[in-house]
Amino acid sequence: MSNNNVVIKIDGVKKIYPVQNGDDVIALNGVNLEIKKNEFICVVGPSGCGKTTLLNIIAGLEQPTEGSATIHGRPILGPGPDRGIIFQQYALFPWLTVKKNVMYSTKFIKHEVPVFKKNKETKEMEPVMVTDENGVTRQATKRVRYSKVEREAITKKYIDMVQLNGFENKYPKELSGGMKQRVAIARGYALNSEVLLLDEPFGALDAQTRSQLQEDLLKTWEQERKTCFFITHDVDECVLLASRVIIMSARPGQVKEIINIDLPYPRTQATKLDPKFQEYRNYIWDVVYKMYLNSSRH
Amino acid sequence: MKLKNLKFIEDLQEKRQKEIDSVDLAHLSKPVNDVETSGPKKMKDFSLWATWKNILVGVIGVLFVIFIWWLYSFIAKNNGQTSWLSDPITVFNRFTKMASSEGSFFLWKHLGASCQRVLVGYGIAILLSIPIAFIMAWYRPFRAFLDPFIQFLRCIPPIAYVPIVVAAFSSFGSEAPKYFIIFLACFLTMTVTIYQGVRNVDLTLVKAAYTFGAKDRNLFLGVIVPSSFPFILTAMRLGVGAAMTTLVASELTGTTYGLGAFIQTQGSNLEMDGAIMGIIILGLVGILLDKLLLLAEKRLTRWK
Repeated sequence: MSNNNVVIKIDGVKKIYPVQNGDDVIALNGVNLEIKKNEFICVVGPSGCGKTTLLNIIAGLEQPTEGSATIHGRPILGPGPDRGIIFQQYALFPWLTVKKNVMYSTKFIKHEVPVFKKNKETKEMEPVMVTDENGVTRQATKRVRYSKVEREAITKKYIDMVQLNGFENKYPKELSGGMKQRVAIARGYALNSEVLLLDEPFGALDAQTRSQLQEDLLKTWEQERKTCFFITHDVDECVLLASRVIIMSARPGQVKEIINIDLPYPRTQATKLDPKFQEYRNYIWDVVYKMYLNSSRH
Repeated sequence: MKLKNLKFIEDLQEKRQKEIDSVDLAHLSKPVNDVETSGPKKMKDFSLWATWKNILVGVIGVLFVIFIWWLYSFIAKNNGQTSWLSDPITVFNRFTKMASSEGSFFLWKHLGASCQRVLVGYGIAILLSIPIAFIMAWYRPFRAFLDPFIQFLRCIPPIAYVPIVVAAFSSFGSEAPKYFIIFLACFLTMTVTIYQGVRNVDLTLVKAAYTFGAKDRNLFLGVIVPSSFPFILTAMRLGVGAAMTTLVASELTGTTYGLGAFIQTQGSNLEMDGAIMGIIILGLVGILLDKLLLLAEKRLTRWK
């Protein structure tokens, strides 16, 4: 495996939250992690193990106290459209319709288009050529925002993908929790970010909707693979979705174990009947539950 | 002395604890269950008839209050006492007289003068309170600077500072103090409300916008303004209330025209029919403005 495959690198990250008159909370203590391209990573662990803190650091919403977080070798200094987030509380804009919500995510991102120039004599558009430092001549490109038509097309694709056609002009308050989360997934995909960060996205949903959305997410991800970093405390969920499961321990938050899930994609809810699934599930459950027992003894 | 007091409280607590301990839970009678006897809950009725029914109840209520008013003035008159209270019919006659061709000029003049004051004062308050409330929510030093003044002025009834305002602003024309008094009352209420709205912005939405690549300026128009928009509309409705209640105070000094002035002069001339008529018109204008804003609110914040 070449090093180019690594998208995000977490190197010795420590995060301390200062507390007034009391001991400071160490949320993360020396976390090392490499996230490779198109991996589906699930993080499980008891509450207070710093899962969300880790996600926030990757997202750029928080800065580590020590250590570094990098994306393609560049340090993560703030949030950006290369790392989309799907929140547990959906975070849909209530004043925008479903369609406008999805469209909003593509408002600020840019893409590269070839540059053309009108020839004054022939009155025809001709490509503008540039020569780079290696002496290679190629057509010049410029970075522009997507046009409204392009954004509408992108929006339509992902609304179809999460099967919300017919609900484009509804406001979030008119949707059920599961539908809201589907909009959020469509929005995360429309952003076309390289990395998708999911912070317990199905945590607030009922069991049926949750299973449905897990399958939808799997289907979407299999159609269009991208690097996913998924936080959950549901062991079944993490085995079903992940290609690699990271078990974290609490107080201080540390990576306890990393397990490769060797189950072939495409996966469905039926994958849960696979004896191998059961094996992974029981193993991870055992590790997490033991940690839980240890922590509650104190 | 202090110790003695504490002892007294301790005794009371002890006595209460003994009472609690003495309750025999095993022999406590069970709560009465009468759920079966109360039938299925009625759903709220949103049909057209329900709307009309509500309007009808409102009209009956108004008629009833007018009847009580009439009855009271009638009894007072027939008891031979000197009563200055006009009955509804006199007030209505006064209104028809004022609304007729020769009187309507004055009615419109009063109404026009008052409306102008309200609109100017209220308008300036809207224009200033929105940006100031946003800046207050955004920059801490600005908030720290402005907050004492706002909290101080909010506790003072406008009628108290009328003479000072008149003394300070009458050099800018006779209307200036009136505009200022209405403006101040609206501004204080609206700034506080809008400020709360901006502070209430859901931070996850802000985070989400940042991950889409929004910059601070995009955030302002894309997230902060729309999410505090309902608060702006609420503030505008509160502002209308403040403007209408301050109108009379603003017209206390040196003016011939205006509903507030009209009510004042009629009252001091003991022409109660005119005063009551003025009050009713004032109230109706207030209701009208509020209904208009309510309509706008329903239209503009359908998403809520």
